[in-house]
Amino acid sequence: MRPQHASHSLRRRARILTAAAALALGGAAITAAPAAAAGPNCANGNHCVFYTDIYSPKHSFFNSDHNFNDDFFLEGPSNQEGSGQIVDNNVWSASNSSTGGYESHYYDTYGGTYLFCVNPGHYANSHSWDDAETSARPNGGPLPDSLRQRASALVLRGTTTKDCY
Amino acid sequence: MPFHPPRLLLPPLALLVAAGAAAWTLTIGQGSGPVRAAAPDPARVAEWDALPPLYAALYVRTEADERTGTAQQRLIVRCMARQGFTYHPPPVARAGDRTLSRPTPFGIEERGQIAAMMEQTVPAERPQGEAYGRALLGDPDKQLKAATGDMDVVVPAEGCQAEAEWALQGDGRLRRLELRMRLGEGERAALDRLSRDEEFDAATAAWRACMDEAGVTAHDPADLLRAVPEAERRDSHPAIVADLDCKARTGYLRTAYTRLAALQRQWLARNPDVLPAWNALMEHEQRAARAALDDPGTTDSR
Repeated sequence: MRPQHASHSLRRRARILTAAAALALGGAAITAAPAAAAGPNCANGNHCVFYTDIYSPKHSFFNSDHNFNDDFFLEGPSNQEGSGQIVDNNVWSASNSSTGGYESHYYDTYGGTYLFCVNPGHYANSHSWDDAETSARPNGGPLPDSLRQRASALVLRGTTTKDCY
Repeated sequence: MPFHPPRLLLPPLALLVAAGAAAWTLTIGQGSGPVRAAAPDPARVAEWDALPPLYAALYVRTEADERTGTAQQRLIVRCMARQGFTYHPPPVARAGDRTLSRPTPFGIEERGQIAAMMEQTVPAERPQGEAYGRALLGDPDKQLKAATGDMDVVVPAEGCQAEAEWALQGDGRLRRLELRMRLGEGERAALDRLSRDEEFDAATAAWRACMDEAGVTAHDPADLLRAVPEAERRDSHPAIVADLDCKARTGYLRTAYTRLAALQRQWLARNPDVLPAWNALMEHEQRAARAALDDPGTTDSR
């Protein structure tokens, strides 16, 4: 099990809450998230995959990629675990900063097993704030284990089905 | 998950039933060579309406979905234009498009599937300035989060993308994400139980035995696909031809999907609130999309 990085909990960013109040809804927490990771952590026009959370080493795509075995987590912090590691079967979370309205579709194998997709502007799993509930996971959690560390390909798609996160 | 790379052996494969079948030597890493004979009709997944209920709810694209996608794009075009930007929306997938992404936990299901999937391409992202990105995706310091026990999704609070989602989904925007995640839990729970299902186990064993006779060793169809190098991954690859043939001979897909459907129904019975709530939000979205498309102010400026 990939450990969470204790060093991240030492990085306290300015917490800017939006006006929306935190709601509890049927067991799910819907909260206004503070200073977030959009632009700086996944540049406009990119689809980003992360070694762990949104502040961890990452790789950015601006096009489809059929095989992650020649991609490496070379962006983001170079002094953290994961930096330089291969992306294939190693993606822990994913974000989409598409400016073309593209969804990110991730596959276990290109031409084969589909895993999940992420809508434009959305982030599947990874956020960080000071929250008693998530203090054990200061930078948010990874994708569920049946989706985590399985992606080997990314296909950019237009507006498709309603299943994207 | 460990897998055993396919082992392709001499001599001829018994599965080649059409005239002209001949022996060939197959080794992973070499070219696949010509396909000498057509395999029997592969077992196809039954028609769309026989998909397991969670897959039917999430992955079948209807005309209403098509309208929703079109409406969303028009709202974004209009919003961006108000701020002086030209937004070029990507294609909206058509209703009934069979090449759309959906989970195929049992690997390849029909001939030509790989080629069909590989045809789906869109142009690369165009570089855009920061102001454009801000207009579309909003202030990066303003985000909202929907979370369940299993995962969370963070979305922009502002910007044209967010505004279009608000317009169509209303107050249900975050609730919709939460429900999608709950349905995802159902997908995973059913697959997990399937891995311990006796009938499914027996079907996989029969498939493995058939594949073994054909000289291919693989734990299951998904493993088989992973073991075929990407450069060789095409519908005519002998291992993939054998896979489809064995699925037809053993009725594998029918059994697998029947069992998966039963397990998904069980999950829905244990969590009866989720799908009705999801359907209600979908209906709301579709009504809003219809209204947006009927609104003369929502011009199609593509």
